[in-house]
Amino acid sequence: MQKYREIAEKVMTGSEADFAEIRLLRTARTTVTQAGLSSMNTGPIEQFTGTARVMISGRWAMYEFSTPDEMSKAMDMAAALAIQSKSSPVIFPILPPACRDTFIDMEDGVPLSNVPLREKAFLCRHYCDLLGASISKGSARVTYDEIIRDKVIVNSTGTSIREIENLGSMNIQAVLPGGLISSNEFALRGSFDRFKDKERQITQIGKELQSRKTTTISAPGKKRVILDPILTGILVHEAFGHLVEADFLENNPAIAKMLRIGSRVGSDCVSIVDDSQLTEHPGSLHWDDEGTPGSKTQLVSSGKISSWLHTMSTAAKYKTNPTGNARISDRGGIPEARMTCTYMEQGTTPLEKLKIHLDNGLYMKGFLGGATDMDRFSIAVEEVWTVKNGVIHEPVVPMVISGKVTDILKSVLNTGDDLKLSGSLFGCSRFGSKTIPVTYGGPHILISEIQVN
Amino acid sequence: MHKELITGAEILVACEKVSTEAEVTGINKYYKSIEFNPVSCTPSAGYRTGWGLRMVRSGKIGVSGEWGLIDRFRLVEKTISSCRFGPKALFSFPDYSPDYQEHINKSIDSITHDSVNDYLNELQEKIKQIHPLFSLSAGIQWGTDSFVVMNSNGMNARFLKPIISSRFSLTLPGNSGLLQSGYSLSTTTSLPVMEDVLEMILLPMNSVEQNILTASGGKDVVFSPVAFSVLLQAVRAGVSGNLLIEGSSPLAHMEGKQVLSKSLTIRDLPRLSNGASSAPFDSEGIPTSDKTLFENGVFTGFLHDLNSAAQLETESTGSSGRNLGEHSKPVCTNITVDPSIIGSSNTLAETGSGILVTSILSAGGSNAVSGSFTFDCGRVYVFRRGEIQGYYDGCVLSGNVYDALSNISVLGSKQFRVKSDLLPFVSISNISVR
Repeated sequence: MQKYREIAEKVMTGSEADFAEIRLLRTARTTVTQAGLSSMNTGPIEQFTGTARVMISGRWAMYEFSTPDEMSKAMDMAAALAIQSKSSPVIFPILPPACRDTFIDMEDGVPLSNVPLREKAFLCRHYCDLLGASISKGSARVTYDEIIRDKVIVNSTGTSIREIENLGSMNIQAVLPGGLISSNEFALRGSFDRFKDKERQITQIGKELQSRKTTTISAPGKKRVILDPILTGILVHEAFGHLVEADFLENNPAIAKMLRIGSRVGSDCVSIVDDSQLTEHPGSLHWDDEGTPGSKTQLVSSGKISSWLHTMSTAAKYKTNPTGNARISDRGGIPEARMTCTYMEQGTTPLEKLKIHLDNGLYMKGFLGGATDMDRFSIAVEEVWTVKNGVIHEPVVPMVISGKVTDILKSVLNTGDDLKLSGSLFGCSRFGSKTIPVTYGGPHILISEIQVN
Repeated sequence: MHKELITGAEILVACEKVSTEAEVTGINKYYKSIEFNPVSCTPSAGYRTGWGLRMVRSGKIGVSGEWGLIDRFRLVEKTISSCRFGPKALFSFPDYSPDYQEHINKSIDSITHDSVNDYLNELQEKIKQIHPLFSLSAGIQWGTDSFVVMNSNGMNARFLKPIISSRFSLTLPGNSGLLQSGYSLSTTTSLPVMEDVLEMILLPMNSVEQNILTASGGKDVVFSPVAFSVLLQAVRAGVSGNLLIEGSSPLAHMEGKQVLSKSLTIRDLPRLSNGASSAPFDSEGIPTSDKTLFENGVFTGFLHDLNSAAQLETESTGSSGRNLGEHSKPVCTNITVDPSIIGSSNTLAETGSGILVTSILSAGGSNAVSGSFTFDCGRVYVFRRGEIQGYYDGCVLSGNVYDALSNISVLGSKQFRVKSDLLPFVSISNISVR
């Protein structure tokens, strides 16, 4: 990629556009699945794609190419599209200072890309055997996914950056007869070593699933609940985070007004950040897909909106600075304002104290699935336990929580002292866009009232 | 000879001494597109090219693929590595080429950035006339894809397909929260019919502001075509020969038996005119044919690729599908449900009272294998005497797809395109609603 980067730099010097950018991306994706005794692998499937993007007289246009020798032609094609475009001109983007740098994932351990396929396949089989042995009946499945991303961004301000990301995840799934599911995902950026030595956790997953066998049903209705860090993260990401992506707000001025900076969306104990600098997590990035450096953005401070997530274009529209959240979900796509590592900040209360305040409510743990419909959400919870007088009592069948996100964030009574981050390589999607890697999390939180079905 | 066929032949040559059999698949995609929203309209164009290799080595099958920069020796090396962990090869690649006459519809050539821009502006105008606060975002991509399948036994096949993929998203702030609807469809010869787009995209945006609390229990539920397509996902999985081999298909031993309501005829039509998933041959080069999966509710048979057919000692149905570089599996193409010939186009009026589901937000907790489902529907609409009276938030439907599809009470008389499928509205009795 280094030589293609140099070609891009040369091509850029000839551009007469008001702004021009070449984005090169090479990915290699490998999947290994062990389901019972059956194994299957795919890849690595390698992909190279390049995109030329220009702005001329306030009009954007893009051209995607498949081989580096087409770079110069692609710039010309994009320029021609911009000149011919009949769309209304838009405001010129806020361009971050020029930057020339390279970042390659290197930790003490071995990067994912250097580990042979047989070692990945062996680990999947080992964990699958362990999981299968920990449940008396049912099925076990372990899936390893890996994406190596090598991206180069060169633009007409003089920026030329390259970042190599090693992203991996391991999904551990057990299903008992009757359909009771446990699904756990470990996702990381960096070293393969961090997937090792999970034997105790894998066995525990099976044991906990066995102990959840229940037919007890909790009556639906409004309940006082504690959400675990995974559910807090899902709530923060899915139900709230997408609402403060500035390109979405740009298209929906009425909603932008509702979520204006300073408006209250949560109780005083709710503070939310998006931090792309947590480099061991899959949502992180050194530079976003426009070459803006990653940063920590305070989205909510003590219950009030502090900032939105911006690209170069939305930053110009709202007269602020880009936050380093421009991300591409598809080859040749337009950079969108998207989350990276988003979490609710922790408080100071230990979980045991939160349980005492929960009294006779429900303790909820793990995530099966869910979705948002703008500011409304519904989340299928994996484990639900009744709590009596502050002590966990018995499991009940999995339930769905739903509501309006600002109502829920306003009813957060207290936050735990146990921030935990989770993530997924394919964890975030928007309508019409493909998935991107993200990280999400938070502490345990106590909610005074939430609809449970 | 086409350039693609030359590249494919070169990859096959590289496999000669390291494999028993080899097969190459290639995709070339030339496209133009427009991203449209209230603030900007960005034109794009480009092309993508990719190659997949599948080979048999030491009796096992390996796969690999590359997009963009193709290095045939690297591709071969990766596929050899994949063979070590691949499934056993139980079949041979075909030794004949499909007999296929190419008829390219050239109407896609008349679509330009300007004409798509005009189409979207007109759509936006119509939507704004209905409600000025509606915000429309859309993406339309059009172009021609070419597909190549070649193997070391002499198969050599190529076809071109025009394709237009469209997605529309609409938002509206209301007193009861923010409303959003989305609609995606693919066609092959012309931009989507604007009236159909308006009907589908406006359906979930009903402006009734009355929140009607609804008691849990069995209810009549009308599924829009968009919601119906989610319900049919279990059927798509259920008819796969792979599921039968795994011993987990709920349709095992049900061939020739009444499985669904007599009013339901479900077809898989790879030869459908204007079908985005249409193809003259499948990803293994086997000729496709239109198939009826359920004739008046009676299950007629499973779909097979070469592997599942070999395992069950039957013939491939020409249903192989896969992403580039992945293993083949039997898949559905364009699914159609025959509309009612006696019913009216107003399914709500024919149903009387119940709940209208316009989209399914999440199927988390559903099991496509057994057919059991738990659908989070978000906002649904309560209707009485065929008229929408109010909405209900946080609705969850549960049950079993096969049971539900046995309880069809009303089938709409008009089909709508959802992605590549053609589906009517459908009303189902006694669905568990919470």
